[in-house]
Amino acid sequence: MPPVPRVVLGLARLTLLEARRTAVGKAALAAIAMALSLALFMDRIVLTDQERATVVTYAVLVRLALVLILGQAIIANTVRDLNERIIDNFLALPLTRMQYALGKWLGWSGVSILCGIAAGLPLLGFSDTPGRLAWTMSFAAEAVVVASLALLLALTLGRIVTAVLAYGCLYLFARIGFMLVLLGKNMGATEGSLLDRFDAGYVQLAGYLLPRMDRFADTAWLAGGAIRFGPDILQGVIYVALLGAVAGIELRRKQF
Amino acid sequence: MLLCALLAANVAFQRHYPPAWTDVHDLGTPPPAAAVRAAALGENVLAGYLVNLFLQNFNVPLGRVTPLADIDRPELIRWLDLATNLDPGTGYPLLLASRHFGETGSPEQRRMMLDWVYLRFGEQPNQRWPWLVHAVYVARHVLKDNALAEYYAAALRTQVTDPTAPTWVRQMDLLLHADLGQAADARAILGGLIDAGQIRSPAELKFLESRIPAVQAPVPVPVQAPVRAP
Repeated sequence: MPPVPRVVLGLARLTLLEARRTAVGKAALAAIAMALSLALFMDRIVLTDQERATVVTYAVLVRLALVLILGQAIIANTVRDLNERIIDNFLALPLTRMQYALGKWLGWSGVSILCGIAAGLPLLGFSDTPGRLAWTMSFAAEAVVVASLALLLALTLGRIVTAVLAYGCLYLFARIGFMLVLLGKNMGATEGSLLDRFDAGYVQLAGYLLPRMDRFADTAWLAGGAIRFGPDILQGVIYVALLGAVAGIELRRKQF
Repeated sequence: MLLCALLAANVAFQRHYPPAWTDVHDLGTPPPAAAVRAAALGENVLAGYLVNLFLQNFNVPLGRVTPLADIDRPELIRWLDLATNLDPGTGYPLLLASRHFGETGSPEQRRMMLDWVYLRFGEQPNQRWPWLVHAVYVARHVLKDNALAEYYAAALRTQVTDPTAPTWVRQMDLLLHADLGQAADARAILGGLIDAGQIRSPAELKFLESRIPAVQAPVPVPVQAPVRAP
């Protein structure tokens, strides 16, 4: 594997600085505080399973909030680079387009991992739930996958509204796609009409094109369920590599 | 000044139109579990807790209380099934059935709740025995149906095989025959559950203490289990 050029690492560091300047960290901390507050409210209103309900509520809310913040931050920053021609300054350096994308990806991946670990700290510090470490690591991996997706969509679509909409839709489908596939499997005794089978087919096809996000940081791990840490990391590696390949094709084709 | 006036107007508006489940008059049929799972983005555990909280509170929108006895029990059981199917690892629906809904309504309504607890106990006896213990108590002292209480006690004796479950769980019928009285039985069961580490939530302890009849004093912790191993 060839060493990463210093200029790519420099671009990654610049991306981290950019995230700091645009208050991504502060937004993430606010999201964590909001999720904690709502989880503690849950603790006050349930009759039983107080710790379990609190931990689960926190995990669900913090995940959605951070996924939204990361996606918006990455898309807004990248589209601004494109619109204000900041990208021209970078490409004037001895840097290919793919190396530019790699530098940005390294920077945003670092931000995502930090956000994932920050989200897991309240669980690691104040809870004795067995799955909290696995959940934290898996959520950090999930954050890297969604950051990669957001970066690719921003580079490809070049518009904030369109890219955020696509990001939201793809994330939601990646979370519930497996359920839609399962629902489409059983069509009853009639085996479904041609249209039903067509619907089930394209849902399945869409499922093959997206990652199984439901495998990452499963909330059931925090609620006493079996911990299956590993397949999610493999899924993450496969999908980030796939997104990298798509980015390679897209960046060769694109005129900045 | 204008800002304060507008803020006050907003507060007045909110006070005049308080949030209420105006569209909920009875429970109705619950949505399919698959639809709830999809709507919750696959977060089944949280969805289960939200269903439980809905069941716990839906009859009390801002003080306009619908008596629990008026709630249609077959529909309620479908909702409890939904909550249990979404999150089989929690005892919340079983707690609601045995001690919240099971202690109100006509004898037939209470018996339906207890029978539901017994039915779901049979799926995971080693995890769900605490709720059938509650059902024994409710059958014995609230329903005054000794035969039903003994039937449940026999189920505890024959179906609970977990060696870590306290011995007194399998000897509930001895407690029934001891005839200590309602408050003493309630204290004994609560103490035994605390001893067994089954009650970890302060809110649950408070709720169960509030169910001890004519006794408002908290249960000392730990309390002797009602029947010790020979």
